Amino acid sequence: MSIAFYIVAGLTLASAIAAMSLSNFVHAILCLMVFFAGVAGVFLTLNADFLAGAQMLLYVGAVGVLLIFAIMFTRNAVSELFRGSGGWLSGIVVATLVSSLIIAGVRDAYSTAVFPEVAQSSVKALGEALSGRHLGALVVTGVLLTAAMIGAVLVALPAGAVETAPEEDEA
Amino acid sequence: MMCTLAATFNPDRVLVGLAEWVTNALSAWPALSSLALILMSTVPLVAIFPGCFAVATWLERKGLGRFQNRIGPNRTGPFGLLQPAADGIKMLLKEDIVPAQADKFFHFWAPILAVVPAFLVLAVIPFGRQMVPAQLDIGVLYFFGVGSMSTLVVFVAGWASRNKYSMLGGMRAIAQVVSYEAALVLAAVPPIMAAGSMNTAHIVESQIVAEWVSGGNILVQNAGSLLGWHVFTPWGFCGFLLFFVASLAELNRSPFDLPEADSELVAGHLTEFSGFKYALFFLAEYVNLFAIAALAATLYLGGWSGPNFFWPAGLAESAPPAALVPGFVWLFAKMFAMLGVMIWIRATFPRLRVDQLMGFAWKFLLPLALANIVSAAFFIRLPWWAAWPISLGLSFGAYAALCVVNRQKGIGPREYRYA
Repeated sequence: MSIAFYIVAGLTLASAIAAMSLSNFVHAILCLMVFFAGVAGVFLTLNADFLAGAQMLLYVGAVGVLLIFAIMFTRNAVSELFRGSGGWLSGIVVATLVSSLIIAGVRDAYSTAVFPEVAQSSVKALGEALSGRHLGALVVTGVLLTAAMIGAVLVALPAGAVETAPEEDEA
Repeated sequence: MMCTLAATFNPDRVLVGLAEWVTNALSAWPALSSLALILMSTVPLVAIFPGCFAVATWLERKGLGRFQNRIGPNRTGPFGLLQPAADGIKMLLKEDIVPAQADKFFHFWAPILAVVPAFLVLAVIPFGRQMVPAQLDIGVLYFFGVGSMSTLVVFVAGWASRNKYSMLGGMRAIAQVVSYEAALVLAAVPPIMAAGSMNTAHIVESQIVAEWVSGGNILVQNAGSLLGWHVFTPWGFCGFLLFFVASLAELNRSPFDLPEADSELVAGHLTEFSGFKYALFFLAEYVNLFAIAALAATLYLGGWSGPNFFWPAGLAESAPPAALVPGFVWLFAKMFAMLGVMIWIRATFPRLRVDQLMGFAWKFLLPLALANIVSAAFFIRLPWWAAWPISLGLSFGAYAALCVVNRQKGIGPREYRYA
């Protein structure tokens, strides 16, 4: 691991901690953006340039903006300061579970992973893996996202639109 | 004698040759040599694009003036050419006002953060043969990834100002950019498929018919450097128009200038910025414009290639032929031509409504971009006699079908739900 990795990882961790502990929602989200960009930097230090680019485009460009929308549509989110719920015990339990799951996954991946020496476009390998070995996972993700989208459309429909739809068919 | 002179003289390679000469002269000091190389590929960008910004503001004001039957700026210098300099001095001398309730930190940093991604994306633009500041295998993805930061900056600027108009402008901006970014990225996919690479330099080279350019008479050579452009294929024509329209929205330019709609929102997220902060936002806006125009030229208009006078370069057999007009001249000509069309559009079309804006992105541009990818896939895989009709049918059929589906069913009263 190089110096670059430690700098990027330190920045990423610091911004993650800031995102959790800042009281102002918008400040916290902007710190989360720095965290997303930091993860892209970590991908770069591992010579996975495609993942870094996708991370920037999807997380900083799309997910972050959607989070901002969520905050802005929440009533009084900007003016009222957010305070932690104080559930220390449950927090520790959840954090332990999640981090042990991640550590287990990473250790499993480490035994088989081959890190390229120089940055090479991994797009082809990624595409082959997604349309071959991991096709099932891709399809399941697609179905999940479609279901989520249909749910979002249902939520956003004007009140009464669902009930009146069959009547229009009869007429 | 003339022959050898002609063989070694190559205007297309003047800048590359200069860079090679400097690095060779400094080859005894590797650190100094690489530093020189870095400076030679970054300093011209930082120097030239603010200059282009100045010219663009003058062109825009002068052009809009002519469109509106006025003369435009004509007091400073010949034809008002010194107007950008006068504006710059005025901006520098203005008072920097920060609203009392503003978020001081982000209000200060937003203009600076706006300029950073605008210049960063220039790193992957191929300005000529072997003239890419950074050869990245993920060039196009890098462009969009870094470019997506500028959306956030607009929101931060609007939010940090603590002003209703700024906030509304910022929210409008991110809603618009998120919607059009999808169409923009999908419109950039077909040239990547055609080139088999996201490297911008490879995408340009895939649009030059190499065997025509290196041999034959002058007619064949020029045809080889012109007809290979993706815009001359059915999917390329469709894709270029898609990319151009989506980039207009991405740049918040008319007719998609709702975030800065001056008759509704004062100046949107720019309302509370004065003096040089305002100038920095404008600099970022125009550098973004040039960057996205350069990417559009790279993807669809053959980048730095174009009609030219070619002769054998006299180096190795495989070396590309020498050319009279340097590549960057062609690229900048294409960029300014696109700027001209953008000014023309701004002078012609009225601003869209918010519902029209969203409907246009999600119901028209996005499905058309998806259909265009399918059309491009057929075109690339099939022999030309099957590719042309199928691709033409798919691209144009999708366009026609979407036009029918989206036809407006009379104008009824608008329904406001959350207003």
